[in-house]
Amino acid sequence: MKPLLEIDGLTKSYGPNKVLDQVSLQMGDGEFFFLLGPSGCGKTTLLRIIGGLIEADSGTISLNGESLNDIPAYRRDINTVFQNYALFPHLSVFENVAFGLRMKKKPSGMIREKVIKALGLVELDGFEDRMPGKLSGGQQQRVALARALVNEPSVLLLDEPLGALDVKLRRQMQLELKHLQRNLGTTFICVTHDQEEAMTMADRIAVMREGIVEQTGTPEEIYNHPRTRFVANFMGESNFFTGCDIRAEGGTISIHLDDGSTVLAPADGSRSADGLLPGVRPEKIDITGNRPGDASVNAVQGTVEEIVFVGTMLYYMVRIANGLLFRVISQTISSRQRVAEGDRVYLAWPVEDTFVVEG
Amino acid sequence: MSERVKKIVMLVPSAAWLALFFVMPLVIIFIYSLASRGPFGGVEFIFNPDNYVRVIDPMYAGILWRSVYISVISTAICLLIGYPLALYISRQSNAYRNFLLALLIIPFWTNFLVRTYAWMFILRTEGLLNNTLLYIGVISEPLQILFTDTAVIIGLVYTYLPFMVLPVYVSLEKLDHNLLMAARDLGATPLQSFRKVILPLTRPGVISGSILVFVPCIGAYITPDILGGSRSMMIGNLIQNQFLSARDWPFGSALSFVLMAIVLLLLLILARQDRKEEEA
Amino acid sequence: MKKIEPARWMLGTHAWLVYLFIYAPIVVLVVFSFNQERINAVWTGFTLDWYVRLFQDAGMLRAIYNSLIVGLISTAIATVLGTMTAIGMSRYRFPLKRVFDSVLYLPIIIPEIVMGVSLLVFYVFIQFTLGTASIIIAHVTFNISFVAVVVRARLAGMDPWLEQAALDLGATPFQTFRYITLPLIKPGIIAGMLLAFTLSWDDFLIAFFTAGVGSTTLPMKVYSMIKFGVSPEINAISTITLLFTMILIFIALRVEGVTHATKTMD
Repeated sequence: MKPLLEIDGLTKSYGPNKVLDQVSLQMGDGEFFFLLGPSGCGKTTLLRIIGGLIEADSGTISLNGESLNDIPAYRRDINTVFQNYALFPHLSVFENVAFGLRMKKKPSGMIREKVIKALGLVELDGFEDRMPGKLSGGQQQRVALARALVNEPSVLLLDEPLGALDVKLRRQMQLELKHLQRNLGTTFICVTHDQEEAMTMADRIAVMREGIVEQTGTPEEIYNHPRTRFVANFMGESNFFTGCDIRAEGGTISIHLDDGSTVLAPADGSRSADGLLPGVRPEKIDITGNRPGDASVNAVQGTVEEIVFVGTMLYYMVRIANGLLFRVISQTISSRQRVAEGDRVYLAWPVEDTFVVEG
Repeated sequence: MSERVKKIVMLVPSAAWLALFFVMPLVIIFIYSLASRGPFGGVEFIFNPDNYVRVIDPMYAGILWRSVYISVISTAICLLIGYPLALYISRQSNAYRNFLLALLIIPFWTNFLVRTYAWMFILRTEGLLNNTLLYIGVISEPLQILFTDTAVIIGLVYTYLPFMVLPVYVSLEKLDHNLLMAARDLGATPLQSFRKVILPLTRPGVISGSILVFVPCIGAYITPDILGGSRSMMIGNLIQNQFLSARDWPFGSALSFVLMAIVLLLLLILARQDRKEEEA
Repeated sequence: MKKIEPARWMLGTHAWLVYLFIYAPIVVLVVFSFNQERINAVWTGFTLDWYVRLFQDAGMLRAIYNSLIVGLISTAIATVLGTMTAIGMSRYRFPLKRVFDSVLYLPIIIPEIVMGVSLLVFYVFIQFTLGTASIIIAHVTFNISFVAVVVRARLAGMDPWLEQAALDLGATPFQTFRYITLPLIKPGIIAGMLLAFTLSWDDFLIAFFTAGVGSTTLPMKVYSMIKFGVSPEINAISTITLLFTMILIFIALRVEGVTHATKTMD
């Protein structure tokens, strides 16, 4: 697929501070793309540069193969939903949404039609004459969305769009936003620091740290096969085989534990074993009483040290070889054999679920 | 339009205006302040720093001294009247507070001359105050208040009281009420907690207020001119006198610079205190 | 809990005495503008005579006219220049910005008498004929600063993202200024304008030094009447002036009210 938006070698510094360092990304047409990372990772700066509100020091951005570098924000076919919505306080909801079309001097009949349609899209029919100051946070968010979408941009940028909403509303809006994006088929690029939000909505995610893109991929790829320790930790909990004997042989990577057992991990490409650190997500692990016979399943023996009941889940702390303390999460107890603290158990997970990061 | 052109269009007209009609005049009187008075009242450009020395000449030092004295007394009275008022306002409910503050500020926007005249109307020998006092028999002879220092002080206090109340009020507002509770809890009487807790914590407001009152008082012209007599002259009147009557422009210029130096110095102290406040 | 009632009671009494001190002179002034008695401050009966006399006094009418001309022209110029300065200061960086910033505040803080005499000396130095024009120039000079300060405060309170949002939605920089920035700082500009007019209308001292023959303003006229002695005509013109200022304050407060309404949105 030919990318819609292409970013190549983008760099931006504020004084001695390098906010973006040689960032290159490609976003496809109709993709819901997320820029994910902790605050200060450069994701918001990147979004502003795409929108044309900040100029990069070097690098190029092109939309549909045409360079955007010398095009000012107001002539880009790109619109933004701002973090605090930035609704114009002196204009009604209708005029806020109509703003972009009015600036382009569209005929007023057409403006009226499009604005009403856009407000319908975000389920704000009948709100035309309200002032933004009189709306709830969720409603303001919808107005901001309608105001951007009414211009039918090629790319919609969203800056922490749900950040100002409370948890319950945020969940609901996540699903609505996803639906909206699917139905419109517009490319959305969304900035967030919330990995759960990105996992729920994204087609693809770029995880950023300190101005560098650490990894790009689908939510599944990034969650199941993080490439760096930072990504692994940022996307969720991990158990790492720290301090074990790791070897790369043939198509696989093997981890040799001090109780003689071996754990396998898939190797992608020809990485040498140096500096590699395998790990496994706590919820990928099964606790069983018997050693599983399947060769495609990794198994290590350990002792249950602690069991904690958290909501609908069970957390097990299991001490395995090399003195490692592994955490295991299971959804229910009913389907499994009962396990008690102090029991000797096997931890089992498919080989392909073992990920390997660059330690 | 490029950014550069926009910058020039936006800022150069006013910068040029202020340079020509504000900075230039000050530069000229600064040069005059170092020149000599000509035989017929003109200015001769002979270097003469004596103008500044003359400021402390006994003949003029008295006026300088009275200016400071009247300003200090006025500031002190403003503090004595203004602090309890600020305390009262700060203890009211929100809406009422804003009402009281507005009530305090509104007269400030009315004509200065008119307000000063009002006191002339009240204080003069046949004025309202004397007539009333005579009528109820408190005095048998009219009091001579108008054209004295007392009248000037009344006028100054009347005019600049809001400048004291507002900063004190702001510092009282910022006060954490838990501190007062704590003081009371630890056994402080109301008076003790006022002296040991409220007063020290509102000191920045008191200092700001005092400077804000003192500065316009020391530069006052209309109040002493209208309410004071020929004996209640202050620096402002002396400056006016040098320019319009005595026609000693170099000395008048020197006096202007001394006055300006006093004012700027005090405001610099204020600015520094505010900066410290912000940092804390 | 033991309440400190006496202290509270005393504070309240004190406060209302202070307000009496503030308002009594103004009320007395207004009331006695309707008094028949000319010399003594004794109420002898109601009359509008003093007002009638004011409007028969050609010099008085001339002074009111001069004050209006000076006020309107100096306010117009100062509002434009002050607003431009405020926007320029909030938006651009340039060398000597801090110096310019200080110079901008100076006309507000230096004693009026110093500003008055320095302008007088300046006009004499460049041989500029004193008259209405010289007063207007003087008033513009201090009013630029006042307008700039008021408008800057308004700009500082504005959400900086609004302009970015407008650009993002396809408004050119000029459209952004016209449709977003200007409407949002309008209350500040109006407030600055009213302030400038009030200051010009009320100014005596600076006009005193910069006025020429035939350019006597209303405060100068009032001053010369006061110097001549107390008279009910002064009470009458004072009452008119007070009324006029009160109307301006009322308008300013209304504008401020609108400002607050739009501010509550974030």
